[in-house]
Amino acid sequence: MQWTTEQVLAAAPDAQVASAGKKLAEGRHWRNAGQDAEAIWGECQGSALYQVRVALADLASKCSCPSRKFPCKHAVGLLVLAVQSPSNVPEAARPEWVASWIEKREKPKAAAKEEKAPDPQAQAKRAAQRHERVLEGLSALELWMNDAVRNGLADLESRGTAPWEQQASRLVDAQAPALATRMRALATLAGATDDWTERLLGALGRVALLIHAYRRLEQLDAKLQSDVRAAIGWTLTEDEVRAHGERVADEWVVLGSIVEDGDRVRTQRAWLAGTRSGRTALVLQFAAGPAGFAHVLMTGTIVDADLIFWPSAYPQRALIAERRSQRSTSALAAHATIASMLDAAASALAAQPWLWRSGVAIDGVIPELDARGNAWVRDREGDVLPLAGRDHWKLLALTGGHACGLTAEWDGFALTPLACVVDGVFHRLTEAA
Amino acid sequence: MTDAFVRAALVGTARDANGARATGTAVDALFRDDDAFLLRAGARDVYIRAGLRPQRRSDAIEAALPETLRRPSPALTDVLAEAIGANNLELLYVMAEALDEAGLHLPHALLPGILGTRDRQLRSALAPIAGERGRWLARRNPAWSWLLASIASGDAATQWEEGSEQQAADALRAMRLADPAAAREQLEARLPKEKADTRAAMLMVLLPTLSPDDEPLLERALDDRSSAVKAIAADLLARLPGSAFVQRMQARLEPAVRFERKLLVQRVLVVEPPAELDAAATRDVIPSRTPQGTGTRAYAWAQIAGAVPLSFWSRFGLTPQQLLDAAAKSEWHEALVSGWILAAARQRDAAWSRTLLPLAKTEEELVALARALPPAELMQLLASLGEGRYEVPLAAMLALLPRPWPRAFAHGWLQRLRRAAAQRDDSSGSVLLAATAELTARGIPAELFAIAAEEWTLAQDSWSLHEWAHRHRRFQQIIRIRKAVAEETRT
Repeated sequence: MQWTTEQVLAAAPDAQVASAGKKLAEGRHWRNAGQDAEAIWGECQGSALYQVRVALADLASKCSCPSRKFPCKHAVGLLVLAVQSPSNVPEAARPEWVASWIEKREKPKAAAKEEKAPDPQAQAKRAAQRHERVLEGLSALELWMNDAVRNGLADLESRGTAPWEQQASRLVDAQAPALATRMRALATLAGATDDWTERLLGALGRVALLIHAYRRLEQLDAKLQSDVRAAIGWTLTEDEVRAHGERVADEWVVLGSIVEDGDRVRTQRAWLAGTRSGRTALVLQFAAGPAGFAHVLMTGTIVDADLIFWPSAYPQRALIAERRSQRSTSALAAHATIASMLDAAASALAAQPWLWRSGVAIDGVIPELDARGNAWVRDREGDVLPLAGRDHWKLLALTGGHACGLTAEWDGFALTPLACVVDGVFHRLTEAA
Repeated sequence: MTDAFVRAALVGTARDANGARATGTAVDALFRDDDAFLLRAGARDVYIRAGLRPQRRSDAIEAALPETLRRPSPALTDVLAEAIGANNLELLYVMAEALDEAGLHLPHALLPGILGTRDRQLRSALAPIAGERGRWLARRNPAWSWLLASIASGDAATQWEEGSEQQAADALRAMRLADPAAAREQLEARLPKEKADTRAAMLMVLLPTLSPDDEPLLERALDDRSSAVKAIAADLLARLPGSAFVQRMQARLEPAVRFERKLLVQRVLVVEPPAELDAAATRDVIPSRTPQGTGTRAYAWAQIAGAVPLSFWSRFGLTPQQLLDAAAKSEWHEALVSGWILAAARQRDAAWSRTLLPLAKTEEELVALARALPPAELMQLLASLGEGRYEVPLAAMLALLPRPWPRAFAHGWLQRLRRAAAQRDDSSGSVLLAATAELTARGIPAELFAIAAEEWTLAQDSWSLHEWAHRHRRFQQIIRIRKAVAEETRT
């Protein structure tokens, strides 16, 4: 195990489990703990004796405890124990209760359920009906946006988030959920920054372009069609992605992740960068209730995996098709300058003008504050980009006016820091999942 | 400087009839339709985003200086992060103290999580371990600027003039250390303008650096409007053996005690406190401070006896114990003991304190007397307070011991804690003993860490189980921090 405690704790579904796990990370709680190349295991004495096993490739775990949280505190505790006091988790032969679990995991899932092939005619009919509803919804939205510009964005800002919520729910009714999410996100732009008018007008303009494009979908290149449909809310199932998407094998650096809390569902955006392909990938995961995310993607590790990308003119979103191993890294496949990063971002926009945000890594930047308390980073050329948000104290504390490697989410205006590399050590800057 | 096109959108194209409808760039040509305002805005946005050129800055960036203290390892950083996460002040004091002793600075990543504290004691403990990085950060975050203030000289004057009451008291304390006379003058000038609570708090600041030069100020404070302020002035004056106050008290004491021999063997100390207090005595004794349940005459007598040097009593040629016995029959015995306790505590007299300890009636008296004992004797005393009979403020007494504790005492106390934790004991003494767990964790020497880290058995059926479990957890947290820091220094 070459992970840090911080990385391992990121696997916990919430702070409670992380803290309970830490308390269990002492040798006295464990019996028959051991590890081999693929797994670690141990028995934890709780209110009963629980058998815990963790697969090292993807940190998937199984425990005999009744916890509904996943991974449970026992699995987290065992991982922390293995990191902090490896002598308590010696190399050993795998006991039967671990071997049988690993075996079961390795067996490919029973061939996909033999579902009745859906009736293609009925499917096409449903799609055509939805298309009509979407078009109606888009027309209504276009009217509203034109009104907004006619009456002025200042007027819209004064009315708070309610108008945006209303538009978002109408779009949900019109079966355009992705665009609904986008409109909800725009509500937070108004009045938020000095340049909010510029940002909001640009964002509304791009929505207008999206509506324009959707009406002329067949005129677009097939890949860009996928992007427009995805931006509206037509989704592909994972099976469809597996069947049609591009599969890329690489060693992927996990640049970092951001978790957003929704009403019932938490969404994690994890950004990966291929060390050989130079590709950027976005792995979106959803979790409901106390459950953790299915794939543990620890910031600052390299995951050897096959990803399959959603079809797109600039493919970013991907799913993990096969995951082989995972190890710690301090190497960053990074841009050497801000200019180089912006060039890449420009090419991406040229291919896919609705691109919202992208994971980036830049080396040799110095974070600092200006006199008004706004944070920015400067590269070795003297180029400067602003950081989004206000609280960058951890980043500043770690760097202290010295250069670092930075991973961030770029939205065309500012960088939202995800992690920094200082003295060869990755530090996560976002909250744990 | 907003673009005319963006301005039109902000104001509203319907309200701004002559405003821009086009961007004035090549983008306009993409859409011929006059109604294409938003489409133009969208295209313009994509072009601007794609063509973004960053600003340049050439101003120097101030880099934090290299740390002069040693840097903590990742393993220790984990332990410290947990301590900070536990959000318990006591634990943070321990952490700061351990790092300071080991010559380590706080891990950089943890600084933002702790510099925001408002606790004064923690702040002064953090100042030496915040390191260069801490000061670099403090120059950027006004909420952390206390870190710079605690270092800057000449700052005390500003705090004294403009700070809160608490800051002013801190500033006074600092000024007293630097220049006691100047600080006294500042205080004297300020006292009349402050309310009673503040006057009392500021006078208390004089205690650790008290000197005969303070007498005139204190003498004037005896005439304060507030009886609380008067009482503090009297207490401080009683600690100045050469003061006129002490002489006045002694003059009141002398005629009221005399020695008689009865039946050749029995020696009796006859005590006759003054029946009436004249104006001058009222001013010194402050009878209005008499607690409920005590007679004014007894209270006055304790104040008088408590202000006189204990050497006064040597004229009778008896030991403290013999004096106590000789006064046992007196009607004023209790008041006399109260006075002696006051005097022994004020004068830090070990012989008298030893004799008076069993007679202490309040926790306050007990701790004040214990403070006058040499550490070795105090340890003996603590060890001798038998099991089940320790209805005394053990924690407050243990806190008087210098750290680290000697190995033998520490080991003994640790064993005692573990034994008590394992036993069902529903007395309040069990809880008092449990309350010493954190102090024990702070006091035991490094060579006992391995033993200390061993698990305790807690009696599950005891009603104080919750208390013991809580204390035990804190004990282990403290040991964990101290152990992790010690391991760092060894390598």
